[in-house]
Amino acid sequence: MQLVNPIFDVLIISGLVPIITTLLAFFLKDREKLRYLGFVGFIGYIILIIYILQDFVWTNNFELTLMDIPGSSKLALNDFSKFFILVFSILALPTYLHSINYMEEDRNLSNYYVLVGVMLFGLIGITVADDLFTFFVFWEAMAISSYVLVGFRYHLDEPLEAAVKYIVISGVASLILLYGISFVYGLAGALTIDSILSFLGGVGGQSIYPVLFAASLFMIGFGVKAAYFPLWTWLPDAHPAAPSPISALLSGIVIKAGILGLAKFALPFFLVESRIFYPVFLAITLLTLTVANLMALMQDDIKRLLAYSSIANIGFILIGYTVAVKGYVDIGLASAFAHVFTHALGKGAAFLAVGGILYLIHTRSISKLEGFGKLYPSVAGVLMLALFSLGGLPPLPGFWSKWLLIFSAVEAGELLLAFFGVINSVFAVIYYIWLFQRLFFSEPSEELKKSKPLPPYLGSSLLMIGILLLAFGLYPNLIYEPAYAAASFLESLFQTLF
Amino acid sequence: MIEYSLLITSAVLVGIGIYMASTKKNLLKIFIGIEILATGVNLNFISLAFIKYGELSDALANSIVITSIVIDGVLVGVGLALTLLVYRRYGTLNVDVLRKLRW
Repeated sequence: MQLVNPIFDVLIISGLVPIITTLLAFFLKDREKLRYLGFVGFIGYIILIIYILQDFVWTNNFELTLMDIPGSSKLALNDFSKFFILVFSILALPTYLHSINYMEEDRNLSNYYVLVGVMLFGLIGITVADDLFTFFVFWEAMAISSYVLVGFRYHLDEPLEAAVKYIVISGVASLILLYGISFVYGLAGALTIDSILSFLGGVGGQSIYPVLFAASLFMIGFGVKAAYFPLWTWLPDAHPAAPSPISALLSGIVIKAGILGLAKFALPFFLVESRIFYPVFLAITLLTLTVANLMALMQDDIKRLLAYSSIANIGFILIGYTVAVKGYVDIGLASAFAHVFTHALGKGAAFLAVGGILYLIHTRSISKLEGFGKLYPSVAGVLMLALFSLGGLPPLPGFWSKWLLIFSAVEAGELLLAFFGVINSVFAVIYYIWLFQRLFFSEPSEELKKSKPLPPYLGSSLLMIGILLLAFGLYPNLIYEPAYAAASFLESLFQTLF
Repeated sequence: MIEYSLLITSAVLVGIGIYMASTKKNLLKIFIGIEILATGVNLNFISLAFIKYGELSDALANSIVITSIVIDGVLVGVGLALTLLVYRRYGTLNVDVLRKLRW
């Protein structure tokens, strides 16, 4: 069934979540009831997933022009956007459930749920935006609410500092992105992806400096959000400082917004200038992978360790992008998108489990958590499941996507990338197993034993994401087929460039 | 020649903005830098519309600039709210006091 038009329906369903939350917040005065606002988002995103998966929407592609100004504003619901909507909404479900218990002590709960709703609305909007203008508006809606959410517990030192750092770096980066968009406007005369592609098709493979300049600005603008090598300085501060459900969303899907923008809007430029950008991508990928893994090894704070592991996984996703920039667009992007999905699941699960740890025992220091697994085997079990998926042990989903990435690198003749991928994968498994050993095989200390029971919604969110991890690990085709559909959609779109 | 002077002016504004945001120690000056950067970007849109179509009133460029002004307002508003919180907590606007995290 459809209400107006599938594209608007998607936006209406996710847009109604913050609106209904706001309206309900007027009627619920006391805090005990305010925390159940999390169910609004939970139900909303279940409806969105069901809507997307129904036959009529899932098998057709839709397009819509919004304004009369030619080439200005266009929305599209195609295989690419449906894949990303699915990734974003699947992680939104356990996050909302988790928030109900995790945030119960906080002030301004209604603001929290409204901001999460706006952030997710911005993310859904990014996926359906088919021109850079609409994309930028949704991008900023997502970014600005994420600044506030990082600094949500502003009465503490760490979130306040992290939010200031995040807003300065990321705010400058979004304006640099807008500067790049302005050059695209100057070059192509319009901002829809079609007009960009027809302009780039006319360039004919020659290097022209404005194109190169715009592409570099895109690389900086999207790169700060996606947090690859020289631009990731804000991430290890901002992600641990946010409340744990928000860390799960930020590490799981918000940094993927940068990856999405890079694939849809910046990749045509990189493909045209692939002689210059291929070595750049190669260097960035190798440095991101290696440096982030080395940094992760040195952390004692468990959330900082996960944040660095997010950067390392962005490095893995960039393996697929390097392969794509080299010219193998569909296999490169398909494996990169599959890793986007499995990393969102794995890192979401890891941060939610750490949220459970923080709720039960108020410490993030790994050395103080030794023996935690013996006290709460369920929470630590989900954490280990998530970490083994991130490390790439079969049969968890992370294994399949890493295998695909390395396979695509070999297929494209990138033996160096494949080698670094394998080495870093092994490296990551080493520090996850080291963490596993400390959590499960040490004796718990005296202060750890004063503990409370696992609250119901938090427990069910962990159960939910644990089941999702196992299910997608046993049926990897459920990930690979939509990822491949998304990648081949983009490849057919970029066909004019070759 | 006037179109290139417009482009250069906006590039200079963007440069000043990035320089201020990355080197200034005072949080207020950092956000003023971000505003200058935003102004430069908006001017770039208008000047490129002028170069492309020979008039200053291309509908797409104008609508983007108006939207962008609103978005910058929100961005700087959130930034100034954080600045106020930093000032209440530490009694200074110098970013050097934010040393708990490794910048």
